[in-house]
Amino acid sequence: MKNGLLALLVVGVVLSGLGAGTWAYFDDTETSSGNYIAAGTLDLVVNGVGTFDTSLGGDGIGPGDSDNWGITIQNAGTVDGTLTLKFTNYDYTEGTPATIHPAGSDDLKDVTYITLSLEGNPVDISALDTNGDGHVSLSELENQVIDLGALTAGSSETLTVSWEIDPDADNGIQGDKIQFDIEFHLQQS
Amino acid sequence: MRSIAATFLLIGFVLAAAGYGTWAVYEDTEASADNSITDGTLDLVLTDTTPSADAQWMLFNAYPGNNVQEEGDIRIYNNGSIDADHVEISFELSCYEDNDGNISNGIVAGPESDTNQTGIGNWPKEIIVLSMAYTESPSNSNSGLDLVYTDLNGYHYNSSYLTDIDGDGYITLYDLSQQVITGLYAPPALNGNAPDGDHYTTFQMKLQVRNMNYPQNDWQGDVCELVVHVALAQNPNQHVLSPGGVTVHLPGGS
Repeated sequence: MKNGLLALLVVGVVLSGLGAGTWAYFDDTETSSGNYIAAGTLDLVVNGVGTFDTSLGGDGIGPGDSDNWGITIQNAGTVDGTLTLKFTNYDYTEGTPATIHPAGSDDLKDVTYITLSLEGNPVDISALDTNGDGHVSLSELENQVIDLGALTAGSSETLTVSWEIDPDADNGIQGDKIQFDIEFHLQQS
Repeated sequence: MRSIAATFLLIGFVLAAAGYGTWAVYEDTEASADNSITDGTLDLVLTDTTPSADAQWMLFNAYPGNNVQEEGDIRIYNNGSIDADHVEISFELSCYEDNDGNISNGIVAGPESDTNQTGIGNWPKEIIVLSMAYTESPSNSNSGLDLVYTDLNGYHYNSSYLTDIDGDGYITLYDLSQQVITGLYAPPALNGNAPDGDHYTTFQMKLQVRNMNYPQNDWQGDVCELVVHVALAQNPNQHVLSPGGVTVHLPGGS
């Protein structure tokens, strides 16, 4: 009886092996490769920094002084963009010594006037002259977004920031110091 | 008794021998020779309008935007002698962290504006399938299948064939990498005559890089190769392909 069962088992194994061969249907697979999606880049590079400081031991500037800062802005990426800037992160220090008489009331950021030019062409920021005095001051510029137009992939431009301290500024600005960032933003266009 | 039995047996043999001689009437024999069993074939051939089905989707300098699209298609032939039951398609993404969208000049992390320089972020989920169709030529054979399409009512996909794996409402390259499209009708067996330019099925797909309305800087300069696997299966119960998945390659080979 035991031998008979063993024989049946052997037969069963052999049949299942045959079956496995029978059930292995045909198939064929091919591929389409070399399909690529490659991302472009939008990479803003800015070079240039400037300071002005009326505080003791600072730059020694006063009413009527002026200067220019040249800042190079490059789109080092492969995607065209639109460039904006804003003057932001103001850190103001009131430093007029108590020994100054009259002490004056002017604030350095109210009497520092800014003009901008891009590649030698004036940037119109007159809309930011909220007090209508014909000048755009640092106060009026604070956190305002200024559109500088297109900056195409691979190109660079020079922004000139010109500043002038009102010649009629009073003693209130003596020893004052203001520090701020000019933040550039490049958005894909 | 035993000798009697032996006698009958001997007689029997003698009679049989005699009968054999007697019954040998005319006869003729022919042979059906050269019979053989030859396996049929199931031979998949992929082409485009060009001989190769490679490089059908080529999207360079990609960035988020509704206008950033790429359309490609593959023609599927059965050059074998056996009709297939169905076609399966799977998608494999092989992606690279790179700085300039060009891996032929080396794989380098970057650029500085890439906010994820150790990967590709969610990029495969941000490339949607804008349209996908499966059709057969001649056009009077099986009906075309609009697997993904957009109409005035919005974005649609055929859930009999496709699954929105991550549930974001779109079929993206990520979704495709996690599934196999199966049950597609097969082109006829052309028995060595493929590609004949006439009897094939076509898989068409248009991709779009989604504008997610938030910064997508985490894949700046990165590259993905899309490998499309196509299989012919003989039997309805066959499952030939597996999901291709996403593999990310980092600089340094890690």
